[in-house]
Amino acid sequence: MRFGIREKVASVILLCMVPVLVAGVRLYANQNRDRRDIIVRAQEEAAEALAAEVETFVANVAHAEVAAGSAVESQPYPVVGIAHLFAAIRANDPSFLWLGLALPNGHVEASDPPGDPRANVADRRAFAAARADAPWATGGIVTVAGQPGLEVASRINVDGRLSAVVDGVVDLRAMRPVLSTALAPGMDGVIVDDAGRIVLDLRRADRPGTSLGSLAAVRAALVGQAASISGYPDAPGGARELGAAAPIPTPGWAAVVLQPEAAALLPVRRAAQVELGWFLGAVLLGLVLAWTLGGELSAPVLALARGARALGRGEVEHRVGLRRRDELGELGAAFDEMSERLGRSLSEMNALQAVSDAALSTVRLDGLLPALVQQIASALRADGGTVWFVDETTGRLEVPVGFGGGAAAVPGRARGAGLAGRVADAGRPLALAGPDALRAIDPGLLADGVRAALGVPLRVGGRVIGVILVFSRSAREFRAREIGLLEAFADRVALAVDNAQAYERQQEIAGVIQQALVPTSSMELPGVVAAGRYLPSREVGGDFYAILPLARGQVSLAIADVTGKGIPAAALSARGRYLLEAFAQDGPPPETVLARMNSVLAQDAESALFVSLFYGVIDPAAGTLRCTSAGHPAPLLLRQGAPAPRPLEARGLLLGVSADARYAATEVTVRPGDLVLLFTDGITEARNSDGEQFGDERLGALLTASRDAPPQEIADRIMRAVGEWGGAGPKDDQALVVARVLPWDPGAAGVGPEPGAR
Amino acid sequence: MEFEVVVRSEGTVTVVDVAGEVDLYTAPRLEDALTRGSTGAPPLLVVNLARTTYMDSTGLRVLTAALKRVRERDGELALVSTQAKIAKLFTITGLDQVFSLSATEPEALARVRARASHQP
Repeated sequence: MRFGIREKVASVILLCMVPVLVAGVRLYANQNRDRRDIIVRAQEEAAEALAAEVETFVANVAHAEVAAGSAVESQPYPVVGIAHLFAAIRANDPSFLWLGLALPNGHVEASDPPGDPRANVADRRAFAAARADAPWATGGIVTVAGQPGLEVASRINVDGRLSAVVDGVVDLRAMRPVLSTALAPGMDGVIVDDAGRIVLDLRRADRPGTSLGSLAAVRAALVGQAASISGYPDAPGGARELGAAAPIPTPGWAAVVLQPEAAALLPVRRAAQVELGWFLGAVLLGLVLAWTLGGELSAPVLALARGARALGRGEVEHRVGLRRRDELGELGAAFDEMSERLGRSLSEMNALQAVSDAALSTVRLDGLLPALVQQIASALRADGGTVWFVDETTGRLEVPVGFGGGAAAVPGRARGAGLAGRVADAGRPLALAGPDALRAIDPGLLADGVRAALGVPLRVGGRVIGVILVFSRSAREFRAREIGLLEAFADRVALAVDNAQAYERQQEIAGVIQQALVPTSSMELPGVVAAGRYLPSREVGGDFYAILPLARGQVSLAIADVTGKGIPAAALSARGRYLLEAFAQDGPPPETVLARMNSVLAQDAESALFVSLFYGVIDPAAGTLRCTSAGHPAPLLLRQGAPAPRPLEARGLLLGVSADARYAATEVTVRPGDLVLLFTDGITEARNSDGEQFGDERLGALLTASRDAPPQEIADRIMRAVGEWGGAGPKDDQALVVARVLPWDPGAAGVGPEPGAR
Repeated sequence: MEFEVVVRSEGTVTVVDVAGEVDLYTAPRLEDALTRGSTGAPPLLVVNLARTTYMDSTGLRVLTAALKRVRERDGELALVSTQAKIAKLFTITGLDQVFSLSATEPEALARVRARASHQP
């Protein structure tokens, strides 16, 4: 996982929360300690209250005893009467288990309920204390009829001297209804005697006889010190209890309050849980906020990163589109603005590049101009554009291309008229904005809905050759930057136009040379009728042919193909043709003609152009055809009556390759009616749309099929068939010569044309 | 087939593989490849025309010019020609007498190396 902005913001906030967390934990611990203290205090108070009530009870009991003593003192009944008095007191106050009157020696004179006559209480603590000098005292636990009770004694003085002691045993169960009010629910109150033994347990019956003397707090309470109890494991399950112990000075007991720890701490725990819940909630809220804030920060940053990548891939139309009001929103808007500007610059650059490419290519510009103008106009965010050219002869402006409506593209506009005319005339850019300006200069544009227009001149070498106009149908103003841009376009367009024109001029020159080379297309001689055809390719090449009457009725037929294209090939073709005519003039053997031509052409080491040439001489009188070839495709000979033509094989190296080349002639016999077809590879290698070549066989079949037609017509048929095969604009020059041998009339030979002439 | 020309090395000999059609439009690329391939001293070249489907006179001119250049520098250029059409072209033009034509590349390589070893 990536540790991004979101995670970092969340971590920082989490880190900031650490001190808060620590403080929170400490506060939490303090709070809990305080709460425990409150509980302990409540328990201590409960223990003290319990102790006070026990004390009050004991005091009340003592009071009743003293009252009993006083009654005995003032009414010296006989012993039986005393027993009756005691019975009456007990009936009135049932908390006495036993009441007795003891003599100073401990002997019980009378008691209720009546007991053993020999009973003696001299060993009882309260009795001992009262006998000593205390007006009343409490003693230990005394069991009466199986029921434990507290011994209470009061002294009866007669004439300032001890006469007897009233000794009573108070039923401890009587304390129960009085004490229970001091206890909170869940608390247990326990009263222990001076030895730590449980005297009374208010809530639980399962610990009678148990001693709590092992508890330090109890021991402390028994010596008069209040103390709290933490963790008293007395129950069988070992549940810990908390509590407090308080001293009961009279009769020297202790009151103990006990509470199960879980129950005691429940409120503390509850409060702690609630507090912890709030605390954790706050932390969680912080984290959620941090996460959200982080997302809020990271999402736009990621969107910007995506935008930057898209831009890197060249997707200039990509927009980040952050709809925010903060700084990131501003960054996003700036980014989008940059993308847009970049896109605009790119389209301007592309448009410029396209025009430059066109300028550098030698292709005719006519087809490209509309697309270029459109590109220029869209780069300038214009609605339309036109290019006007100055007609060199009339000096007027012609509109060859444009788009975006007619835009007052009236051809034949005079220089000086309209926006285009003004620009052409002044040779300076002119921008028009607003109806008024347009109405003054070019109402035609205004009528066409144009609201702003810009024109810049096309210049070649300081001469204005035309004007580029762009216009907008919505209100705007073409500023310096746009004018500069359109001028840059105009420079390139002008260059392109100039190049194209130069190329066309070159083509024209080559074409003129070429046409000058093409000989008369047909010739009727006493022994031979011949026709030649030549179709130059678009890029002028170097095929040529010749039909040359020689002496004695002989006729030479030649066809050649110069490698390469353009003016160099056309020039070599001219040279080759004149060399051929010159060397053939005095009728030397054909192999000599070739050898001479080769030796001349091979010296042109610079040209690196070669010529393939077939040169044959028909001698109608002898009925022979002498053939030589310098690397040229073999012509076809279709004999009268033969089912198919056969190639006229002759071997020899291309002219101009090697000065050492040797050429040899082959001779075949010919008869009247035989047809000879010479051709260049432009014929047989013409291709149809599937790339298939016209080929030797198709050519041979066509010749055979047309054998009865005059040579001119045969030549036309072949050219037509090849033209239809290859479609418009041959890739290579096409040339052919068709000759038919005629019956030889010796008488006619003398009237033939002069040798060497065409 | 798309025209393609690949220049590679077989020891001291540079082999130029020519595929597709060599015509007015592709010949400059062949010329460029041959120029790049004839930098050795002496330049030793094998032009493999086994995958050449068509060649016009421009292609022949380029090959012949390369041959002239290579031989002027005491090098050698041999052709591998397996296609009847290409072989016929060389026969027609008489260039089969000028070029060393082989049916296989190893044969052409052997010829070029043999020629090279006769050099001083």
